[in-house]
Parts: sequence; C-alpha cells; structure tokens
Amino acid sequence: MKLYKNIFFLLLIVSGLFYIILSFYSYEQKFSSEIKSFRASISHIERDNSDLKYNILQSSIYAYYNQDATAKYVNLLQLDYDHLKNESILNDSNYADVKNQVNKLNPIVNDKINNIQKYLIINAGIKNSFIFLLREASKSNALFPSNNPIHSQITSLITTFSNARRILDSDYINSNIILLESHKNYTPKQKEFVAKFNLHASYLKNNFKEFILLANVILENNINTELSSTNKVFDNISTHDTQILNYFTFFIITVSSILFGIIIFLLIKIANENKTLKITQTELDYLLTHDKLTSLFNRYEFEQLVASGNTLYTLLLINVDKFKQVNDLYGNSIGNKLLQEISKLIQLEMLRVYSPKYFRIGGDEFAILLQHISSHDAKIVANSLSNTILSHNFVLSDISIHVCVSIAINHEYPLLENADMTLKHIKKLPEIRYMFFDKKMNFIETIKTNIDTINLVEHAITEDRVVTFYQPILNIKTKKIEKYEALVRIINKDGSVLAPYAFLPIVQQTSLYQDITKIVIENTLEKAKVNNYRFSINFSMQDISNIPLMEIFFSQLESSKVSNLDIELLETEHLYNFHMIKDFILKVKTFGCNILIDDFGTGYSNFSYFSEFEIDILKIDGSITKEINNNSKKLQIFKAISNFSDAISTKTLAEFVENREIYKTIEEIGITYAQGYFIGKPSPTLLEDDEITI
Amino acid sequence: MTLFFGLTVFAQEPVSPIPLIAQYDKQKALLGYRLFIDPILSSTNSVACLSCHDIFFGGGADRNKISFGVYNKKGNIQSPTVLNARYNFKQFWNGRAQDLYQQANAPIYNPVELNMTNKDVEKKLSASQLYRSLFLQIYKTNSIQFSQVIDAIVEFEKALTTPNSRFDRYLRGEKSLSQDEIDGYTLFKQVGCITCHNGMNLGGNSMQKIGLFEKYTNQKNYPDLYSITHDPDYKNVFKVPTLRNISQTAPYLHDGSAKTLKDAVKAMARYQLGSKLSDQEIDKIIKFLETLDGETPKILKEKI
Repeated sequence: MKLYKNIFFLLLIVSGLFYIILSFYSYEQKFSSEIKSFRASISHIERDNSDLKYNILQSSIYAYYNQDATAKYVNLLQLDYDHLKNESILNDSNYADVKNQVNKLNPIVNDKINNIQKYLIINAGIKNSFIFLLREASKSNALFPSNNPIHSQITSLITTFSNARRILDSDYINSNIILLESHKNYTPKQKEFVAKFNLHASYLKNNFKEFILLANVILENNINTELSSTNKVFDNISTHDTQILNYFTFFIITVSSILFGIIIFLLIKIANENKTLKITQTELDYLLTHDKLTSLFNRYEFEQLVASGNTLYTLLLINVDKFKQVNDLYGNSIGNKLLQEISKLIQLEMLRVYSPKYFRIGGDEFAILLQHISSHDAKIVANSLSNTILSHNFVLSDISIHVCVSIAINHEYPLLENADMTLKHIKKLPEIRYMFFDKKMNFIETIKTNIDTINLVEHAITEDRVVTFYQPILNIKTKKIEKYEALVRIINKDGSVLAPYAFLPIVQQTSLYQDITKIVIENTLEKAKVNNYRFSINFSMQDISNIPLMEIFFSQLESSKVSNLDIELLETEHLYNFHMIKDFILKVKTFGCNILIDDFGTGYSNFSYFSEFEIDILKIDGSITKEINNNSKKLQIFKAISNFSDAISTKTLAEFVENREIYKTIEEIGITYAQGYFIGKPSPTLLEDDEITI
Repeated sequence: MTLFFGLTVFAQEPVSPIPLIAQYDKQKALLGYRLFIDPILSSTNSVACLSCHDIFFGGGADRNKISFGVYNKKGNIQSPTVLNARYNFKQFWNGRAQDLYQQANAPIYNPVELNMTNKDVEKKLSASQLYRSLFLQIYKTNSIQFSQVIDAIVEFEKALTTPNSRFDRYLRGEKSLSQDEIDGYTLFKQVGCITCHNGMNLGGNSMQKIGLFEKYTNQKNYPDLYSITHDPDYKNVFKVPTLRNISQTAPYLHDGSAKTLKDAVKAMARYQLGSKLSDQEIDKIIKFLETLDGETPKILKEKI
C-alpha cells in the first residue's frame, strides 16, 4: 500500500515536471524563434544595405538607370529596420544592451536614407549636366570655326568631368577649373551656347564635391559595422541564455530520467511483490488442500469435497497393512518413502475414466474418490490396486520391501465412517483384500463386541476372577451396620475392576449368566453363614422366571440353612409374571428372606405390588437421593416415597448417600437405612467394625 | 535574331511595363470601389475620394488646379493621380506616406478634405443596411472597423492599374511606335528626362528638387519634403510624379501651374534640365508621352 502511495506521489511529481517541461518547451520555442527572428532581421538589413550600395554604384555609372530597385531597397531598409526595432526579444530586460545597440543604429539608418535621397537629387543634376555637356559639345563644331580654342577648352572640361566621375575623386574638380569665355563679337547663338555650357559646367563644378562626399558616405560600411557589433552583443547574451537553457534542459532530462527510473523500479517491485504474494497464496492454498509428503490431496480437501454431498462418489479407502511395523523396523524416512511410492502407484491409468481424486487422509491411509463407477468395476479396480501394490517390489535405500493393502469400497454416506468400519472388518479377515461396505456390518460389529465380552467373562469364570463385593448398609437410628448388599465384579488380568453393566447385559442370553449368578449366590451364602449381618442379592424378573437358576438358588439356600439373606427385586423391569413372583416371594419368605424393591422411584414403580406382595424394604432409586439437596423436585419425590412407605409400614433404604449433607437430609426425613460411599464403598471384605462414627 | 535583339533592348530599358495582372482581392476591391465613389465618407455627404481622383475622366487626378474638400474648402496642392499609385515608392507629393494604407487615412481625416474621424466613419457606415451586409459578407463582422474601410479602399486602389499602354506594348515588342514617338522617346532620354522619370511608373521612385538650374519661384508654401524634415536641402523637394496617363491629368506640376502638357515639358526643361527645347522637340516628346496612356482598369467596368 505504501508502495502505491509512493507511486502516486511520484506520479504527481512527474505530472508537475511534465507541466514544467511543457512550459519550458514553449518558452524555449518562443526564445529560439525570437532569436531566429532577430538574426533574420539583422541579416535582412545587411542584405538591404549591400543591395542598396550596388544599386547606387550602378546608378552613378549608367546614364540611364531604372531607380525602381533603389527605391525598393530604400523602403526595405526602413521597413526592415523598423522590424528589427520591434523584435520581441528586445523587450527582455536582459537584452537592454542589444536594444541600445539597435537604437544606435536608428540615426545611422536615417542618415543613410537621407543621404541616398540627397545623393539621388545631386546625381540627377550631375548626370543631366554631364549628358548636356556631351550633347552640346557636338554642336560646337557647327557654331565655331575650327581654329577657335573653345574646342580644346570644351574637350578639356569634358575630359576632366568624365575622369572625375569615373574615379569619384573630388580633387579632380577644383576651383581652378576655367569655364568657357564669351566674346563680344560672338553671335547671339554662340553667346547662348557658351552661357548654357557654362551653366551646366558650373553646376558640375559646384556640386561635384558634395556628390563625391555623399557617394562616399553612402558607400561607407557604417551600417554593417554597427550591425556586426549589435550581433556581437546579441550573441554574447543569447549564447549565455542558450547555455542556461541547455543546462536547464539537461537538468530536466536528468531529473525526468531519474524519476522515470524510480517509477519503473517501483512498478517492477510491485509486480514482484504481487508475484510473491500470488505464489504464497497459491502455496498456502496448496498446503491447505494437499498432503505435504505425497502431494496428494489431504483429509481437509476430502472433507470439503464430501461435505457438499452433491456428487455421488465411490470411495476406495486404502490402508497399508502393517505399516507401523515398517516404520518401526526401517525408520520413518523409509516409511515416508514407501508412502510416497504408494501414492504414485495407486494412480492407476484405468482410473482415469472415473475422474479420480487421490487423497492421503491418515498416516497410512489413502483414499480415492471415483465417479460414475459401477460396483462391479469398483471391485475390479480395487483388485487391480491391491495386486499392483502387492506385486510391487519397493526398493527404498537398498531395502526391498513388499507390502499389501486393504481396500474398503463404499458409496454410502457417511462415506469415510462406513469405509472405516469396512476396513476394520477386512483387517480381521486375513484373506480378504477388499470389501464393499454393507449395512449389516454394524450388527456384525456388535456381535463381535459381544463375543469379546462373552470370551472375557468365560475366561474370568474359569480363572476365578468373578468375585462378589459387599457394600455396607447403615441403620440410621441405631447408627450400626445392619446389612450388606452383594455385588458382582470381574477382576481383569491387569487388576482393574469391571462393573456388571459392562458384561451382564451381554451374557444374560448365555449360560454364563447362570454361572455368574451361581457364583454370587455361593459367595453370599458363604458370607451369610459366618456373619450376623443380613446380606441381600439382586434378582431380576428374568432371574425369577429362569427355572434352572431358581432350582439352583433354592437348593443352595436350603442347604446353607441361613436365614439372613434378603432379595432385592429389580424394579426397573415390569414384573410381568405376577404369579411367579408371588410364589417366589412366598417361598423365600419361608427361608426368612426379606424382600427389597430395588431402584424404586424410576421405571415401572407399580404401587400395586405393595398390596399383593409382602414388601419389607423400599429402596429409593439413587438418582433421586443423589440430588435431594440441590433439586427441590427430587426432594419432594423422595419425601413422598418416604411418606408412602410410612403409610404402608414399610422400611426405607436410600442408596447413593455420597456425603454428609445427603445423609443429614435423609436422617431428618426419617429414612430407615442408608447406603453409599459416605457409609462405605463396595469391597470384597466386610467392615471390621459394625459401628461407624458419623 | 529579332527576338534576341528585342530582349536586349528591353533588358537595357530604364522603363519597364506595367504588369498585366495586378494582384488584389476582388470582393474587397469592389467594396472599396463603392466606398471610393460614395460621399458617405465625408462629414457633409458631399465629397468622395472620387471628387479629387477622377478615375473616370481625369486620369485619376483632379482637373482643378487645387482640390476642394467639404464646404468647398481649398486644399494646398494639386491632387496626384491614384492610377498605378501602388507602384509608387511613397505616396503624396512629399512622400510622407510609406504606402497606400497610410495614404488612404489622411484625406478622410483632413478637415479640408473629407473631415471625418474613424469613429464617424464606423458610425455612418454601420447605420447603412447595405454596408452592414457588405462588411458582414466580406469581413465576417457585425461591427464595421475603420481599418476594414481603409483595407477595402486600398484593395480597390491596387486594382487601379493601367497596363497595355502603347509604349508598354512597344517595350514588349508587340507593337511599333511612329517615328515621331520613337524620336520623342529618344529625346526624352537624351535631354535627361529619363534621369528622374524612369522605372515602371516613369517617376514615383525618387524625390527630386524642382529648380536645379533655375530657381523655382512660387509665392505659395507648398508642402514639400522640407515641411516634414525641416532640412534646408529639401526645400522644393517633391516626389517625382508618374508620367503614366499624363495626357489625361492636366493641370500639371505640384501647384497645377502648367495647364497643358507643353507648358509642363517646357517648365521641366527649364528648371530641371537647364535647357531650352525647340517646339519640334517638345511636340515629339509629347507624342511619346501620349503613348503612355494605358487601358482603363478592369475593375471600373465591374458593376457595383
């Protein structure tokens, strides 16, 4: 931006400069035309002057002479001098000296013209008198006898005058010239002749000196002398001025060139900057959408393309099998080279027709998006890809490696997720190289997970890692531990403890469930035998309706001869087999078992149970208890349940008593039992003391 | 051979013929023609240029000894001819106007001639519908300028040339002259008339003193060159007048003192040449002078 400002500023200067140059140019033009005009005027005068001289000389020599030219040059001299006086350059104060010089010329020109005028007047008389004398001389022979000395006198006078006229020397004619003499005895004609002759001879005698003088003055070079000194003065000044103009021209040209250079430089700079910027932009765009290592498109570009969802793509998701091992074994640089090689290999010629787009979307995962490809062709393509890579001998830094790839083919959205799942599927099936995504794969996945869980449980059972934990239950009034709830756990091989929700729902359908239940019953009965506390185990509706399980349970219960076992019925399920439950309750009661309704307050809380069955303890759902101190609604529900149980003379138990505050609240409400982390966590062993300090 | 001889003679002749074609702007000249003959240019609407320069019957000059202006005021000199004036090196008897433009102003201003100012001229002409349209047409202007009036008149005067005189045609070898006429021309040269009356106009190209060999005495103070320069040498110095169409421009001399051509020739011989010519000689010279009458200027045949 600053660059543009600079250029704008420079342009301003350049326009200014341009204006100066223009003004300067017009000034220079005016100046040089003025100089030319002045020089021309001077030379015109010089020419007029010399033409005039030539004409004057001719007119003095020829008897007959056409004076038109002389008149013309006199006028021209006057005109050209006036022109010179009015030369515009003389108005310039620098040329005052020249003006003075020109003014000095004024009287000289006037004198010249004046003298010419006077010369022409005298010349006319002189010429005419001379002609007259010549003409008259011829008449003398007839008028005078041949012995009359007048003849030689006439001849001598004419010779003198004609010599003088030819030589233009005034000394030739002086006062000593003797005119003709008239005699008394001359005839009137002779007397008249002498008088006329003498009239002209004396005219010549009297005017010749001035004639010569004027001729010499006219032929003087004074005008030219003056003109050349004018020229000299003018040259001195104008040369100086011209020099200044030349310097200024040089200066302006230099400054213009420099500015021009700077502008060019700046423009080039801008062009370069724009180029760099464009390159950077292109690079950034490239980096944003391309994978640096393989130059394929990256995951970002993939997501951009797929996100629009406008195009129906078929995705080939390619995973390099055991790439991590390659990396571990040969190092990252080899691994990277391998990926680069693969990125080139997957760009098969046969894919061209499907407008392929290639991506690297993960460490060892490539994707190819194809359009307008049938499932059949997709399979062929996948096969080719797989074979190409499998058969390729990757030679990387002298190491020869063979790799294979797994390819998931999918055209259903979400493209990548489905392909990913397909890929996971393939990985579990060593012989399969490529596979189409199938919607059923989700279900298969679940089964797979379930099988895993079943396996885990199976192993836990065989390895005796299914254990029973006991959580203490406090009688709030007596402040004594009165009961324990038995809870099943699996101890993983690494020692971590797995809660029942992670495996029980899955193994419920299998025989393992019975095995686990058996273990819990066995363990709990063992504990009940040797301890005075009451122990409760959990049964669901399904458990009760599971006849083999029930047989096992009752047989164990009978043989153990304990009377301190309680049953927690899970309320979360609908107690759909009413009679079966009633029978079960009646039967366990004969063994001295109390009945607890578990998780009361959620699910199917059916108050009718209480009229039909003999319920001993109502176990309020933990999710209510947990929040009684910060959720008034839950507190009201809690209180309502408490009032209800009072009304039907049933004891109450609150679980999830996690802190003192909750405990204080439920004590105040008048709950019979408390269970939770505040009282004690589930543990494989019982508490050492049954009394706890609150 | 004849051609060569003729050319040689011609080349040596101190007289040259009037050009057959005079350059001028015809439109302007015609407007100038109208102005020249229109008394509108005088303060009294009674006098025109034509009054003193009779181009129709007076050889472009005044047949009066001295011209009359407005209110019949008398001028101070004999009016010179306007014909071929463009070929004169200066205008007026004393040459005070350098050219026709300078000359044309003066009579208009002169209180004893047309007695006008340039504002008067502009005003009077602008009041005329005719002149307004003529000036608009020719000078493309709505306001008539004095300088344009002068310009038009000068353009007309430029058209007033009289080529093809018998003598010119003789010089060009187109026509022969009678023996008397040829003798007259020879005498004209021999006695020295040619010294001053030479060139295209046979005069009009130099200033000369009247009374070289005999003092020219005249009671009146005519406006000579002295009246401008006050140089005593220029007393009685006048422009040499043209001899073209001289037979038509009586009376002669600056003071009109010569009523006939014979009187004029006699006077010139006496004062300028210091000689006395015989009647025979004078007759021959006059015969020659009569060959200098040229054709009527073409423009005078135009309708305005």
